[in-house]
Amino acid sequence: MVRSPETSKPAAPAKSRDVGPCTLSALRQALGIDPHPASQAVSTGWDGPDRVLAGAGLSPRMVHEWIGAGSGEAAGEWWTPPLAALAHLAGRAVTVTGSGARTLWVGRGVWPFAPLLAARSLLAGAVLIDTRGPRETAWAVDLALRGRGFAAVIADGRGLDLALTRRLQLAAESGGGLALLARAASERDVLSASGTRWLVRPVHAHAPASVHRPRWAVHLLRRKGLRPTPASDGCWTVELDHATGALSLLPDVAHRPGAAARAG
Amino acid sequence: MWPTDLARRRARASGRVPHHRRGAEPAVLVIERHGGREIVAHACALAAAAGVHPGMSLAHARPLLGPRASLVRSHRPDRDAAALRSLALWALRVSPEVGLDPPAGLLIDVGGTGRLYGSEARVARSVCRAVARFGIAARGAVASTVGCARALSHHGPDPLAVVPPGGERGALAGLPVASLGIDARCAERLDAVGIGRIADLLRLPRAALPARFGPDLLPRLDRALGEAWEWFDPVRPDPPVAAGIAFEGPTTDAESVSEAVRAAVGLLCVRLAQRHRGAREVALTLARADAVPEGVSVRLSSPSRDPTHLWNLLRPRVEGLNLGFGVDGVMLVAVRAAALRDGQVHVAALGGDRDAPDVARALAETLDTLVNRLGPGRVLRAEGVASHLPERSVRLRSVLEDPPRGPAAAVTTHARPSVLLSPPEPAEAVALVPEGPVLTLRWRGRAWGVLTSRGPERIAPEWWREAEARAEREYHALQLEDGSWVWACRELLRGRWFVHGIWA
Repeated sequence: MVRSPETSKPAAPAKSRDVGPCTLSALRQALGIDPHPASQAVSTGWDGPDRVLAGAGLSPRMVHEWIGAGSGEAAGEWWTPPLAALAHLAGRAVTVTGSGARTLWVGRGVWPFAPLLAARSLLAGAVLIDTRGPRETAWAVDLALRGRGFAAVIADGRGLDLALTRRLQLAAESGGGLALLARAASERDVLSASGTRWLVRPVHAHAPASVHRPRWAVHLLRRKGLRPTPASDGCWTVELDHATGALSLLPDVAHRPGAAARAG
Repeated sequence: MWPTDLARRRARASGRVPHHRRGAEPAVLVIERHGGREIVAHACALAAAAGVHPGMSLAHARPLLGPRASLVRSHRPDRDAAALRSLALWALRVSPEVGLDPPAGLLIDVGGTGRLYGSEARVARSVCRAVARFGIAARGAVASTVGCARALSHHGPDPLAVVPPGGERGALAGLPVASLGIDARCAERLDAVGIGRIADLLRLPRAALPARFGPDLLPRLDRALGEAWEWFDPVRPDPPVAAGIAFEGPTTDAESVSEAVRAAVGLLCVRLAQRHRGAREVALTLARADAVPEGVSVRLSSPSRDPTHLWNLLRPRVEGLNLGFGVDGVMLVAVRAAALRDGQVHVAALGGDRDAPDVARALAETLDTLVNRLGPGRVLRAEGVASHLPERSVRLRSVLEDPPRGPAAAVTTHARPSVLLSPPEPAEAVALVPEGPVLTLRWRGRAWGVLTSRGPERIAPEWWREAEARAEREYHALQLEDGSWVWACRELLRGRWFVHGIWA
């Protein structure tokens, strides 16, 4: 995997007062952390996104933010994390690490309904913890990533500010597992130190009325530390398989949502 | 039967031998090796019925068993003795005084327990029944003397004998002399003069017995008849592993106290290692001058005796303790402990590879830290429950609790949403015809057009819950106009609609 230095990351606004001397590279130097370039990336199981992510998949040395945009999301009153996508990725991480690996779900909001975990063969190894507030969540995720006991750590990332995401990014660099944060749609443009940011939104299934196969459009909104590629504004459609809990990429371009959906 | 019953239990617990239907159980043989020969040491009742008896060679015994499945295990007297001790500790629930009578006996002092259980005979019966439930055939006898009860339980005609006080002489009279527990030489001498039963022995002149049959016989007879004392050493559960450090005088220096705790943790871990155990819960007590002791405890998700890990868990707690007017000493007790085998010491991360034991250990340490900061009720595992109701189909259990034995109930994967709303959110559905397809769903403050509807799936509560037996529901998977799918249900009784889950 190719990592370019921090120069490729979008410049933080200079007026923000906590950015100046404590950029990630400065923190890394101060703490003596050596970002290990070689580590096994977790393939998303989707060709398109994998190709954009330097052909490997999600790096376990980065934090990945997943924004869910479900029903009633616009009002900002309800929030449903993109759990099908998160469970899909957690399952991928477990297959990379080896069977019997554990996953940690931090925050009551991201506890999936058990049948999804069971379908994804994650039920026996899932640990669900209930944290209150972003600080406690960040502490737990930090601990779990540094402890290196989990294949994937999935957290309710609502309300994490730049400093906390920086802390998590530093923890993720220890390589302790795939770090996934679920964020709210309103946080689409919030500054963070995370490696990638994705948006998952439901799309119509142009299928016979009797077929019950939920579909989502997965947008890659932002990525950091990777060489830019032409297909940077990636958007793909995935479909849920109830039996395995896996999301499979739909090859058909006709299912791509229109530009209006992307602008939302 | 004790060694064969234990062999069967172990084989079942290891999972290699399935539970058999009645009538298809394998015959169990426990063998010993003498030189190159394999000799049957104990045979279970099934094998005995087929003609196998102890002392036979295994090659001889096998044809006798014929096509019947058999389970052959070598004799492990040390493990059997350990099992007997565990059974004795279990029997402490009946009486505080329980002794071992190796190789296969327990002595339980039931004096006085009759008031609790109804009668002493009833105590003995319930103990025998409970032991039988463990898969161990047991015989029992209640008598006023240890010797009499032991003789009757081994050689008496009934599986459970009760001798009224004073009836020892009569009860023993019909038993063979071997039931007194005499050695082989003495038994030989008695046999030579044709004395087979205790009644014959009682007719002989007392004074002549030691000279003719050895010094051992008369005391045994006297003890069985209640004319001499006999006692046994009761078993006691192992005291918890503890380590303490006392100061020369009270100190209020927090650093000294915390150093002392750290040293005590090291000591505790050494003592745990000696017993091959790991702590599941450690309690720290500070003995304070002129004040009540102050204490904290930490709990662990899996047994550990790693001093660094225990200290990391204890340190934040120690810092918060009130030292009062000074601390005289610190005491650490492993309140709960579990067996922990010695592991090989790893040369960590030499090749950068993540070794499986390392990951397991890292996981346990992370879980312990989470539990001790967040509390055991907030670090959970999910397991399936046998219920069709979605909200009852999952139970969350603290990681500190051991998972229940046996396979967990299967969790259905049949088209269930990824999020279950708790509580279900009320909704209103509009359909053209009653119970027809839903056209519009009013939910979360707006009306959603429904594109697709899949269902219904009817889910009923368990029939034995009478109060809600008629509260059946029909679940529909509805695709809303924005493409998202929700899991809506209608209560059949009242016709109310709820959204119970979302495919998110």
